[in-house]
Amino acid sequence: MTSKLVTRALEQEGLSSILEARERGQVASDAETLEALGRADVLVLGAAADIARRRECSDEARIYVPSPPAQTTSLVVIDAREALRGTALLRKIATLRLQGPLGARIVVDWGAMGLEIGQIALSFGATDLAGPMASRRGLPMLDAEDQKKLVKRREIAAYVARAGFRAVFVQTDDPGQSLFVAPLASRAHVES
Amino acid sequence: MSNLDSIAHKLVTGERLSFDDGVALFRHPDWIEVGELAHRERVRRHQDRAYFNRNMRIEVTNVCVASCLFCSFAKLKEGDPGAHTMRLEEAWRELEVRMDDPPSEIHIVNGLHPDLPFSYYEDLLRGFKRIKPDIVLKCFTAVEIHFFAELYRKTYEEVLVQLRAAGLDSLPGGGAEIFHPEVRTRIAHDKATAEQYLEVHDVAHRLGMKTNTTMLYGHIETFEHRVDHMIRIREQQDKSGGFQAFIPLAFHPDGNGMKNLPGPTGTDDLRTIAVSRLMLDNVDHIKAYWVSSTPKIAQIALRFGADDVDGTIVHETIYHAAGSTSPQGLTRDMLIRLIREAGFTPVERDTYYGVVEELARAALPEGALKVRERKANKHLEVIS
Repeated sequence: MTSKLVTRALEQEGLSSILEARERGQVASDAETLEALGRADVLVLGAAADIARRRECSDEARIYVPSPPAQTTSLVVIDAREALRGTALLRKIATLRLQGPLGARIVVDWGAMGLEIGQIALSFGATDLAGPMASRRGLPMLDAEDQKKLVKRREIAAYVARAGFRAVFVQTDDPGQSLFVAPLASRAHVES
Repeated sequence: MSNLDSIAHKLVTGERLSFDDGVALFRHPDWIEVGELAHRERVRRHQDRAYFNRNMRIEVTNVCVASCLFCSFAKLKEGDPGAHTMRLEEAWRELEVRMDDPPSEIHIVNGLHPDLPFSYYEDLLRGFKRIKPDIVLKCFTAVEIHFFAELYRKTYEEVLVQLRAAGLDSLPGGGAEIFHPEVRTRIAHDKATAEQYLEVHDVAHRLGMKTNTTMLYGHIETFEHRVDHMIRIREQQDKSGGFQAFIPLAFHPDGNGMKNLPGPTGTDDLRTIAVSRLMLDNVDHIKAYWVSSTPKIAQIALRFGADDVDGTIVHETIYHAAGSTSPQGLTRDMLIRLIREAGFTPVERDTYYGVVEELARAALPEGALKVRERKANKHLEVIS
């Protein structure tokens, strides 16, 4: 349920109509909408993107294993090619969510952007994560710097849970096939 | 009314948030909403200003008799691998070599060295003032002041009066960790207690000094311990009023006694900043210390209640010993850019939040510009 605080903020920033349009299955792309997105406070933009993301993609966050998927019209990958950082990056992701196709996937490569930013991006409209993960079959041949970026499965699941989502590990070449679904129990400390 | 709506109502009417409100803010599933509340408070106090300063960190000794579980910096005694105590000339040289673009503040935090004479610290301060008489010396945590009092058999007031006579201006906030004894006795059992930490600040405030205060979060503590910590600071501030800034410090697990813990995540960093802003209604500034959280998170934190990102630092070693991947220093231009990109007005401040220079903000949010414009650095152009 959206609180009064968020409802008022969305109205003030002119973002309510964008959400209403998406709920009707339409993507608003008129000049007024674009102007509202460009001017909106980044947190309110994030709140709007989060509402759209949860409605259209549920609270599931896919973790692509072993590598990020290829980009398509309904799947955007935010990786090392992305020049924006920090608040500017969050604004871009939220805008992509609110301007992009209904139910689009937005994948953040934590190897390039950092795990913390990847986690935060999940609440700004991103749906999924990908990045270098430690393997039970031994660590890949990487230099010391890249070794530091390796993340364990339970670690990434905890990051996702702490952001209020449920990690579902999928194979990059067959995302319909779940490899592992993080137990709901890992969300307990967020909600208890 | 939801919990958050009732908290929002209290903020509007000026009613102080309770312990239960603080815990509810930590547990509320929508952390961005908590951030939005904190951002409103931050804007009400500081409008679109975001502060930074030109400071320099020096750690003159890492020899320390305390055995804090979270510390990766300390060495038990001289001669241990990695143990280091600067000669006074070595410490002063750190400032001398930067006199072409000098910092306005030196921030010194050390280990609790059992063998240095008190005169070492007095001479250290006098030497810096000799080199640059107007430099502000923000040195020695309350834990160090307590240690000096015990080691040199002085009262807190005697220690502070003598160090002030040698040039001490302000105290940093380190050493607060988590006040609640359930945590403090486990992670920092052999240094100043919470009461002693707060008493040192109380004495400093009575002597007219301005100080900062901190909280080390993201290890074994609970949300309740964090809120308890904030309320103790709020109560102390009601009494003595000298805290300028509260600085939540993220725990880093590398190379210390809690290396098996994961440390806080990005959302936890931002939520903690936000709750701090909301709970500490009598502390003017909430600082997102970029060394502890990374510059990117510190930038985002400006939208979650923080109004200060600390300073240039130059060469930090305590967090880097614990695995921080942040750079060891940022230039003034980098800090200005970081603040502008987040949509705020950069304000260079002195130690006491006096304005050194208020710069213009960027015309548009970075994300609203086209790539070509960003590459041409047009976002750094200013309006006015």
